[in-house]
Amino acid sequence: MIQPFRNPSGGLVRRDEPLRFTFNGRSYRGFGGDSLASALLANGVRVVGRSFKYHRPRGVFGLGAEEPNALVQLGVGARTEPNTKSTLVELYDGLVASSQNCWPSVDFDLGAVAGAFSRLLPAGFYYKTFKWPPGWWIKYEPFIRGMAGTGRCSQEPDPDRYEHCHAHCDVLVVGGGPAGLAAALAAGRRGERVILADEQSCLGGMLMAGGDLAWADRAIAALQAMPDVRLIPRAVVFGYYDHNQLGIVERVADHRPPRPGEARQRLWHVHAGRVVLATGAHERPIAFGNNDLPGVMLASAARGYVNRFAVRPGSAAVVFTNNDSAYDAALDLALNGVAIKCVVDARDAPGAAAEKAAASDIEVIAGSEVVEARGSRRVAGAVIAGRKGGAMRMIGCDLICVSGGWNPAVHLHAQARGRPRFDVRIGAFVPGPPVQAEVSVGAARGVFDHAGCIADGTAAGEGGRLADRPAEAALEPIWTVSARGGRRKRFIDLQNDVTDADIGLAIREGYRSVEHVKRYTTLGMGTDQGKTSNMLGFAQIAHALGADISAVGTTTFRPPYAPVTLGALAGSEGGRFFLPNRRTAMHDCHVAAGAAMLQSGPWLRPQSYPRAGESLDDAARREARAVRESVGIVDVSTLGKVEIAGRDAAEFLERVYINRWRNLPMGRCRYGVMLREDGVVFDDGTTTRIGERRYFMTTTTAQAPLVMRRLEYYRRVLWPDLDLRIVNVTDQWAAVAVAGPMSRRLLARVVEALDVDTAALPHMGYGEGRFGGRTARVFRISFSGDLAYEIYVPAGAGPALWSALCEAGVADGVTPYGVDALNTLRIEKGHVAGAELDGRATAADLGLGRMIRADGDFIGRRSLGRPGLGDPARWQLVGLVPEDGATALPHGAKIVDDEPDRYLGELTSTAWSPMLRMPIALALVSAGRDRHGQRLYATSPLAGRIVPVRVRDPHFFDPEGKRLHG
Amino acid sequence: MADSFRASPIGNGRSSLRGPRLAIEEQDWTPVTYLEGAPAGRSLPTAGRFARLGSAVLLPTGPDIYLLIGAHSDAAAIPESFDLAVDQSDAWSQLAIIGPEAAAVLAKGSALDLHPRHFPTGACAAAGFARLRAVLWRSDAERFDLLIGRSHARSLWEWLADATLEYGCAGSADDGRQ
Repeated sequence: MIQPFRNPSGGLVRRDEPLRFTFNGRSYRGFGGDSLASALLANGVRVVGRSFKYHRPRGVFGLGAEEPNALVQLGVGARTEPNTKSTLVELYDGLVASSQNCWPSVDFDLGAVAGAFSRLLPAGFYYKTFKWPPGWWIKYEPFIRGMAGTGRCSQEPDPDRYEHCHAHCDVLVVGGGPAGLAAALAAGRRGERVILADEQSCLGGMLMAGGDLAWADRAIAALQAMPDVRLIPRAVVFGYYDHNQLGIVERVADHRPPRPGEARQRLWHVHAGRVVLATGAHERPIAFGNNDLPGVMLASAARGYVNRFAVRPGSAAVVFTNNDSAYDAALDLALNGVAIKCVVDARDAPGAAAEKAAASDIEVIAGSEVVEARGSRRVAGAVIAGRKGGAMRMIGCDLICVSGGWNPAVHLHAQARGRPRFDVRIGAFVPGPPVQAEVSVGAARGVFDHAGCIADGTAAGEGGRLADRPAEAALEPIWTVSARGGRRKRFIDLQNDVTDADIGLAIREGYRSVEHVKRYTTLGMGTDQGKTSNMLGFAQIAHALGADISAVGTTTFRPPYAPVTLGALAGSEGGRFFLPNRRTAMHDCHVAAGAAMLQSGPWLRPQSYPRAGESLDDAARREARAVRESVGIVDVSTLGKVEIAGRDAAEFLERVYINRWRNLPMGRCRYGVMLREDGVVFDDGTTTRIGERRYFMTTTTAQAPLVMRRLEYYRRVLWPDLDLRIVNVTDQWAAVAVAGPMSRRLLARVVEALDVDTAALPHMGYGEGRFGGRTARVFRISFSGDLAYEIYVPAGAGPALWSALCEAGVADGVTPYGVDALNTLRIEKGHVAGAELDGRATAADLGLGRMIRADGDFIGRRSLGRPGLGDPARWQLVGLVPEDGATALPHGAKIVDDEPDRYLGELTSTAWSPMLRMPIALALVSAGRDRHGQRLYATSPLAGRIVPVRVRDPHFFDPEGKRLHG
Repeated sequence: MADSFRASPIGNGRSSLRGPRLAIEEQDWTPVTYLEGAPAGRSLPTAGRFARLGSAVLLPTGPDIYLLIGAHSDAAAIPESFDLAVDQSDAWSQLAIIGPEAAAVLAKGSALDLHPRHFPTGACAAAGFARLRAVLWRSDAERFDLLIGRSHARSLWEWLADATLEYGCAGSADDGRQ
């Protein structure tokens, strides 16, 4: 199969590497080194897609990231990707792509009827549907959304890998054209660490489209020989952030299958000492009638296709320009087999370039413009006329190359908080003074000649000053041709179908700010972010307002410079790597025992240990009953653990807890409550005096990191004068609570060198023993309300401790219990936990008000006098039971009385109590302590349930606490 | 020292991930002592640099805070000279990342500049790694050691097993459990 528009020789494509690809179901051939766009052009495919709003046929318009038209749906199945710029897709064997926004086909698209109604669809019509007729927009909306748009997302999980990595350099060079290569060379020769990133598959930039490629090859070879220079092709620098941090997405394996374990795309976080922006410039078009027809192309793009890819983008071309650069395109096209019908130059007196073209027998028509393109689905001719009047005439052609000048790519400079300024000499914005350590060089600051680019790059690479910019050859500042062409649409923004008339309408309707006109018309809001359209749009706004372009200004340049896949942003932090998990030392013991593991914050904890045929709830009830009847063991390693040491340790505890600590004897534990500065309960736990000036604090699992952070803050910022050390030892200790009437016997069998008699180890006592030759800290503390101990051993001995307890407890029927049973037991005892410590409750609300000591200050004390905290209607902790003694209470239920709209409180924790043999709950209820005995309702509108409940004391089981001393 | 009272948080025994140019080796249980204070008359490593004391290393990890890793006759005398010494032998898991690709795999999780000019042999840092808190030091040109909190060790190991796939690393039997 031949490629009818491919030249037999020339270009940078590898003819010995033939590739097959499929576009819209048809098979084509291309070569290694092709882009999808160049391969389509080589095969004569001119209509690539349909436009966003009017479904007009569109073809390849640009050469790179500026492409507004030739967006394709790339790939199939889970890997399909919408809105891919075919100009940046590297061709590979087996590539499959299709057109977007057309049905049934790109050549016959029913949606094109939208074009016939275009007078009904002006700028802002979508917003207008919201206003009138009232309520109708909801009918239009699905239709409008169905008609408009681009590609389709895959609904399947992304099968590819993505990753992030960090990189550091002295100099980051953005762009691998002549200025960028020169900068990298100069910096590299000084021994600096250099990263050079370029969005194309090979370096060279616009030199590949025409220029001294041999120089580029020498430069690249020299850079590759430098050990501290890293060249990253296929890498878009998409964001420039504070502290000279930049984001780069590297397309590692978009053009070939990834190697095992390799990411498809890699997001680099670059930390740069300084940044050289050699981002080049984007050629801009001039808007004329039907300027969106396939066959209308940027002059530089046409030049790039013949020179780099040996592809003729047409057979006969009209070149329309207002500056010299398009003459290079005209000459190169002519050399490579494209007939140049004429160059239409908007200037009255084109200079030397025109003379050179004329010398090559190219007709130059000065002082003229292309008024409109003719043709149905592709260019068939150009209508030209003198700018100052005169007859129009049609010239037959299938290609119109257009150049309206060049816009320096100031995006990254502006993202780095630079403010571009309008330069009338080139009719575009150029970088202003830099705010961060960055400098723009070459075309990115309006220096377009090869020697100037190299001088710029070299100076910037050496960290020196750039030469003054030469006055550019004048261009004729035109953006949109005169309206003589009649009613043909003149597109400002090809991607979003915004015409000069749309912008005029926005101004007539009262919009003045460029940011508002942008949003009303959608100018520059496509995936190309207006790279070819914004400048034309700004000029059109200025024209309509009768203002200078410099007064109109630019819209805001925000990251990303080019679209970034969500996969690259997420990196590897999806699925099982979404959150790093914490596991206790006994994790494998739980899994081996058949535990259902529960994600609890970052921790994985056993929920319960169901036996064959047992539900999770059944298991939790069995486990809770075992604790009451014999003995259970539970992994409590997740509790926060802090060692506090120093002369002022007791003073510190008095300041952070509401109760008394100075009188805590050696070897005794005490329950403590901490407040926030606003008087609300922050956390609770026990603290034990394990040495003369040494304390061991435990915190709740959930709040442990926050408590640690606060204690550090108090110590280092508020009270640096205290003699105090604070160490987080959470990971050092594995902890098992042994609870139940048989717990003492079990403890004695497992922990050596410990006197377990009540005299030696009373309730809230502490002792130290040995386990496996290692220290065992034993605290007689009970969360369950039964006789219980917490055994702490160094985490490495945790699994052995768990196994030893299981083995030694066989005769007593020792039962491992999980979080559900732990919760059941503490609800039976009315002990508060995370659900009750909800960031709103005070100690008094929770029935802990009597703990507050009478004298001395502590964090939160001064807030306790606030009137709101003494309000008798505050929510207070109560117990609830269903009135019928049987109906389960809905989790998270609201508590109401006979007036269902009066919201009295909420149910915080509920369980089925094996001891009371009925559902029980804790709740926070307005004036709850005065309501004991009242009948209220637990309602869950979500579950559609209303359960009558009786309010009672929250201590359901053993309220006298006799069992603690068993 | 691997015994049932000093169990690994990652697998049974020493886990490893090995490839042609990169190996990650879990280290045996070793004494780790948290030290705090500014003892007079003892020269201590400055921030960002660790000191070797025989086979032990002394790492500064915060203001007046050090970790003493490993056992050594001189090291044994150190804790007494500080205001506070707390045993953290079981609080950490130590991994060695060895080979020409070591810095590359670390760069996937760490924002530190690990170039030999900025992070030479002898350098250390307490810093974030793969969204966790870690202590990292460079033992020689191609070896980094990393301390990670014990409860996070297996999670990090799974992350490393994934991140090193592209270097052709394969794990020993015990990684990747639940």
